[in-house]
Amino acid sequence: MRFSPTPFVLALWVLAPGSLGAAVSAPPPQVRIGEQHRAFLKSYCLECHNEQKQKGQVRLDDLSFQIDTTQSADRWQKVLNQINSGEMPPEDAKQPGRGAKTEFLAELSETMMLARKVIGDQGRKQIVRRLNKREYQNTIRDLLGVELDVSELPVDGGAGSFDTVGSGLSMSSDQFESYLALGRRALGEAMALQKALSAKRVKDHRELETHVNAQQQKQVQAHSDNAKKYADWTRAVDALAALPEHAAAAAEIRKRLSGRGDATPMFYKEWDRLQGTPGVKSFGFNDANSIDFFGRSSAGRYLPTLRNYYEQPHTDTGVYLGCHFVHNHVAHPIPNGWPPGEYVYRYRIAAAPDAPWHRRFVQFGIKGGGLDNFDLISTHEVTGTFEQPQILEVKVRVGTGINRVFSIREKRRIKRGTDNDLFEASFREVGRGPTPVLWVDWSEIEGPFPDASGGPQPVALASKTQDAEGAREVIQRVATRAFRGAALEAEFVERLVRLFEARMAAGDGFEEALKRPLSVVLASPAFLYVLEPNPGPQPRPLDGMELANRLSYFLWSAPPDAELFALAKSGDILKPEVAHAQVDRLIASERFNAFLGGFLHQWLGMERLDFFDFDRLRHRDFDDSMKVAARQEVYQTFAHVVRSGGSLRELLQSDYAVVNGLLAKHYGLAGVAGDAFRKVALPPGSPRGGLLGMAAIHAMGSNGAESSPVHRGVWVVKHLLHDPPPPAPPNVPQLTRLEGQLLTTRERLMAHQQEPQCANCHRRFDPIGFGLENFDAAGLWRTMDRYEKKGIGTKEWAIDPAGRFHRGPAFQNFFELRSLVAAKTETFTRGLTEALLEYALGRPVGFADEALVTGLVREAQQKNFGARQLFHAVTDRAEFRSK
Amino acid sequence: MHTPLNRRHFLRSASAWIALPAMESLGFRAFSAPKVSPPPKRMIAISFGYGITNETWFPDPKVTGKEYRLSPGLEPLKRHQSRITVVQGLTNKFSNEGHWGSTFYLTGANRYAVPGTNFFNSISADQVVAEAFGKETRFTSLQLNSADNKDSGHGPGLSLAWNRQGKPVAGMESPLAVFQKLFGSDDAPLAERQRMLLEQRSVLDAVNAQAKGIAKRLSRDDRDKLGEYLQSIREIETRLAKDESWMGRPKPKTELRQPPEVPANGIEEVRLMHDLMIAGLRTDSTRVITYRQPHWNLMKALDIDYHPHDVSHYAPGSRMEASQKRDRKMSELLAELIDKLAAVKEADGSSLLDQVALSFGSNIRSVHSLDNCPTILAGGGAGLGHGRHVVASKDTPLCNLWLTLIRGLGVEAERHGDSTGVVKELLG
Repeated sequence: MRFSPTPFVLALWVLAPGSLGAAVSAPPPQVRIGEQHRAFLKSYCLECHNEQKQKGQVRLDDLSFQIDTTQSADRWQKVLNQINSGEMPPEDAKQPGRGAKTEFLAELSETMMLARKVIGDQGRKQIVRRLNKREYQNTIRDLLGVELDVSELPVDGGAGSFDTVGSGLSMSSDQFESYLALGRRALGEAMALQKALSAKRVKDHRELETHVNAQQQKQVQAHSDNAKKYADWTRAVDALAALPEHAAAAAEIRKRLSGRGDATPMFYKEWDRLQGTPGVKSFGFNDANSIDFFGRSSAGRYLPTLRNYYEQPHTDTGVYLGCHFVHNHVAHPIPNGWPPGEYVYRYRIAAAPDAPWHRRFVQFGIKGGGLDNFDLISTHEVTGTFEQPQILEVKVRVGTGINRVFSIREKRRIKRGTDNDLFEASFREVGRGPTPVLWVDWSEIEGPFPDASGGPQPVALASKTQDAEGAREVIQRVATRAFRGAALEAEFVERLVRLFEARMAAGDGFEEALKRPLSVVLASPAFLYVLEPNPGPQPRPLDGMELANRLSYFLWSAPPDAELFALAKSGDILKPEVAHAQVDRLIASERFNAFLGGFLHQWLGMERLDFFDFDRLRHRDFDDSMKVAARQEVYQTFAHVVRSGGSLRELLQSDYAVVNGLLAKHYGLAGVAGDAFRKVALPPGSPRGGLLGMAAIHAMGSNGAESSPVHRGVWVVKHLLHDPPPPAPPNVPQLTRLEGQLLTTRERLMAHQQEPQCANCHRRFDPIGFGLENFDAAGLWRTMDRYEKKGIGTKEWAIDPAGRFHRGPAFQNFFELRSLVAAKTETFTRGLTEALLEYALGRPVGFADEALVTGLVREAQQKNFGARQLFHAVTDRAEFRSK
Repeated sequence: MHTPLNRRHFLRSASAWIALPAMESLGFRAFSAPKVSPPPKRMIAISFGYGITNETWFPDPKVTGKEYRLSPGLEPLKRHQSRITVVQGLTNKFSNEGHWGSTFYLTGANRYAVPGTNFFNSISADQVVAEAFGKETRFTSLQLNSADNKDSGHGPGLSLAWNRQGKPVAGMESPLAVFQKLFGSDDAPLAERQRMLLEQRSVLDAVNAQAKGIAKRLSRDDRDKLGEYLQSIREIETRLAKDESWMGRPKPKTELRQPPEVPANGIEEVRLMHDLMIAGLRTDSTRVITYRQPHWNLMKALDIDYHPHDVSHYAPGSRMEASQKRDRKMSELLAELIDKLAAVKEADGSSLLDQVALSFGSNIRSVHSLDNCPTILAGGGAGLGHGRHVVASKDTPLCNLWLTLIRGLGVEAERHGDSTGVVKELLG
């Protein structure tokens, strides 16, 4: 909702009264272009596009101002596109004034957005939905205990709705075959895993200095040899050049090279012009180029760096985490033959006393091929000292696949070339690579441990007998659990048993033969779809099992666990107080992370956070690890508000932040160490606290180097003020007239306000974006900004955040802006409620849901916008409990 | 030297030598057509999602015909100027989505055509052609993608192709998987493969019976949705029937080396896919190929640090330079593809290029502009003359081009999408 509703929004309120009961659907609003705009059409369009003239075969005089069909929407869309593109009215015709054009475009694009919504409204139809990619993965995990790589499945969602919305979840023949293949892979893993359950726990301990230092010493030796050979060789060339008979030739070479920075080394490369020089082969090299390259880099780059490494105080008892060619990670593979399961990695680790904060972190992950390829799993703060090293523990789940080599390294960007950049930067400064600051005494792997996640026990795949009867037993057990309450037909089981028998007859062993029918279970509709059969037109209440499924897929993106299942079976789950207690339990669980990552990521448009590698010079610390932490701040703050019984208002403004050690240091908040996110009280005057103070939000509103007020403003009106602007219109001409001028960000973007095609939307969000300019692209506070243009110069300016909401109040600075947004908690709650409903119900929220939404918002308001109560209320509603 | 390694190497190259002339003279199509017939027509459609640099990609619209000058963005195509046609002025009039360069590119559909839904699509031009051409080949059509497609302005969809029902047709993003699909040999004996087929049918029967049982208890809308599942099963059944009819015939041999699982970079990725397209066409494994080519991966390979969307909103300066750099690389790669197509000789002495209708473009021009869709045509498949710069009359539907190609390839069609006829400027 806006600060001042336009005539159209007013009309919506009149036509869609909020007094209807939940089961009654209100008619969709009528969509009309305001009558006051008829004059515009008449003045600038109808002269050519009337009944007689119909220029370009376009007639507009009979255009209805009510837009209620695809045809009328398409005609108006064309009018909108023509004016936006600047083609109409034609240059030689009468032109509308800027103001009139802006207002007409604003009205038309808003109305078109609404018309599309009304015409495309799905009603309250809830269409049967397939498990989306995330849910499929989690459902396999709970059923079989296997973390399956599902990257081969297509990405769900796309036409702008959540990935839980049934109508958008399609199926194709290729996808069906993927399910068969993925199921088979999961079954293979699960069988190996279940056999390993009885495996003895083992441990592999490495004193790293014995493992690594010998190798490093060899490297030192090799480089010393190279350096010595090069020195010997150059001495020999020098001696030769000093002989009178070579003086002329040497002088000639020197003259040619004079003025070049590398004249001296180049001189040696031309050694063969001096007669009688010793060949490089006798120095152990193939040609002058390689002796020059290896000799010089060994002497000039490698040796000083390696020597520096060994000058560090604790290389005799452990190793340092270096970069580039110096011990750039510590790898410790899970030995071959160790069974799959859960393992613990341990490192005894410390940071040097003079290490700056940004170097006191390690990344844990999988080292790929190449110098600095790395797949990040987690980031950890190093709080240990040489006197008191810490033991860092990381849990991993290991399959039978190939990714069994885990490693740690000093935190840095995960981008090809980073190590080289770091080395070169240090080399330019001090003549060698960076001094290592993180020290590891030893590393250790232990496992497998029993699954400690507290998740459901995987279904048993073993049977009493290894024959058709045994197979039937397993098939029945797996299918019953996999179908989550949907009926298991005897005929289906018989077909699968016959498949098993066919595989046995073909020569498969029992387990192998079982994989075939079981993979069919995992590709069958009863597994892949959330089934709530109802052939009739009237909604019916869900039964206990169906409700349990809805609850757990809503809050866990996973099937019900044993407790929910028992309550479903007894029917107790249908009691509101039992359901509330279960909602609380599901939210308190670690599995609620699946909701946070599923819902918040989509609702807040957070895919944009992954769009950019942040500029490493301007935003050194905003690397891959910081991005993960910034994203988690959004998730964990939301989780904190819900779990602690807080108010949704805290998402807009609060006196605390939920951060971990890494993010706290980015923000300059003292006294927070370690990897866990926790609530931290903020000092007075802090810009943190609430979504608008979060690095992730500002980073998303940037291009990785500079802030983007447009993106930030759009984000605020869309997600916080529930007033989404129309989609960026096609074919609007680019603004180019400011080319080559040195301007502030605001000056550049003010051009938007002068062109009606731009102004009609940009006036709504650009000013908000300007109000957030005190945050740079990495979300750090700033008071100055600068703009550099190659060949023209640099401009620096003090940031002026003052502005005014479109048809709304003014603000002097970010803090006032934040307060004005926080005052709109009701509007924010409406947006969140609609999104939550769409995600939970798996269908778009349409006009017929007006009463439902309004009722929920009113109830929330009465409960001080309690976040947890909103979850209770949503799951209480008839819409959530019926199909 | 008689090490086993070298022997194998020798044998491999020898078999390639033998396979090649055999293919050309006897005709690998002898399987489907007993007599030596003229080479078949083929179609390739490539889309690149986010558009191009408006200022430097299009030739001057005032100079049309043969005497036009290639623009800087098309300069790398110089050696093929007589083999290509640059077309301007084509538009999908229903498209309003500034980030969807491929969704409606070959369909021309109106997203909002059906009340009560917010997404509709219709059959794509390639699938119209595949319905006719696909009967002759092992694979009805081939859809190629890149792993980066979701960030590259292609929009919703699983490939460029949409079927008769307007549902997305899946595509493949791994060159290795494409290679295995086309050429991976199945060493199992015939009897074993027949049993496998039987088994696959039993699998389909089992899930089909279950789905039908469930459908009976559903509302009409739910039944429609589950219908996608049943339709997928039917498609696999059709394919199995085709597999069965091809069972006695081994997959063709290829000189192509097996590509790596993950291409070294975006440029290599495009080259590998080009090679696979050509190998697929020359072995007549399929006659219809679409490709949503990478955009972000290509930029990464060019050391461009911006996100593709950011570059599509270029302003003079580094982003515009990045956009132009990418344009040139795309043209360079297209030129390489044309080289390769021209180098493949058909049985009648013509080249593969002579038999293919190749189109290269996107629904997005640049920024969010959806008019004047950038379009390059090449190849003789649709019987169009080349070497020209064509500016179609204003508001010509892009679907007129698709209709021109469909008919030019010899497939009967009254219309396609919102077509109003063929693009006359391209004929004659």
